[in-house]
Amino acid sequence: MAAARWVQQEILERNPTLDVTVYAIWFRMYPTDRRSAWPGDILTDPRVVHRWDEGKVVGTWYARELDDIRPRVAPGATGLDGPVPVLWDAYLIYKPGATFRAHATALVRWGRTILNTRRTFRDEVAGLPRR
Amino acid sequence: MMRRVGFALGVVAALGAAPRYVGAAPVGRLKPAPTTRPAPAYVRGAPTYVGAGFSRPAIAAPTLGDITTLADFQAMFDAGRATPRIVLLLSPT
Repeated sequence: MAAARWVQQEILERNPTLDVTVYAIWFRMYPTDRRSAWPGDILTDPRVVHRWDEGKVVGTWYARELDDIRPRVAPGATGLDGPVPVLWDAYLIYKPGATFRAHATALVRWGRTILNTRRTFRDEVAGLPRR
Repeated sequence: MMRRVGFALGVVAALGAAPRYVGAAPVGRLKPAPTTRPAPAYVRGAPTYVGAGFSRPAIAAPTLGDITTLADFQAMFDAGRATPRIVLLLSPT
């Protein structure tokens, strides 16, 4: 939740003209996680689309894509040395025009954890187009 | 002396009785009618002047949809291809 709060305050509120769509994919990683615990009052920017992923299909898919996206990982990323069944607490920044099937080629940068790699996150967002 | 005092009193009385405005009221002297201003985009909590009081702008509360298959994510991701996108992978607690 601290990561979501940081994105709201430091990425979205500080960049009101940033022309971006943010997909916040939420899923269970801790025993206390559940859909009803979704903190809808933290990431409130209208540019954010929230989705609950009960089956962790997105995080699992990204974990399988790790070899392809690893060249674009931010310095200081953690938790990627051993097997990664589900990628989570992570951000991925894409250029305009990126498609799902060719996402790795349009990936600007990604990082994990969000807070550990927040400096790179902030720097990459600075290069994205404004309205 | 008495004539001067009488004249002064007459002038004061005449001014007091005179209407403040004759014909159309001077533009710019009256208090303007309340107006409604839209809240600036992405400025949360900015006061908006509505009628006689202040109120917060209406901001749509976020909603939580569902992804059940990877195809759901693919459709959403591809639909936003015109702009840069950021994917966040998060747990709620």
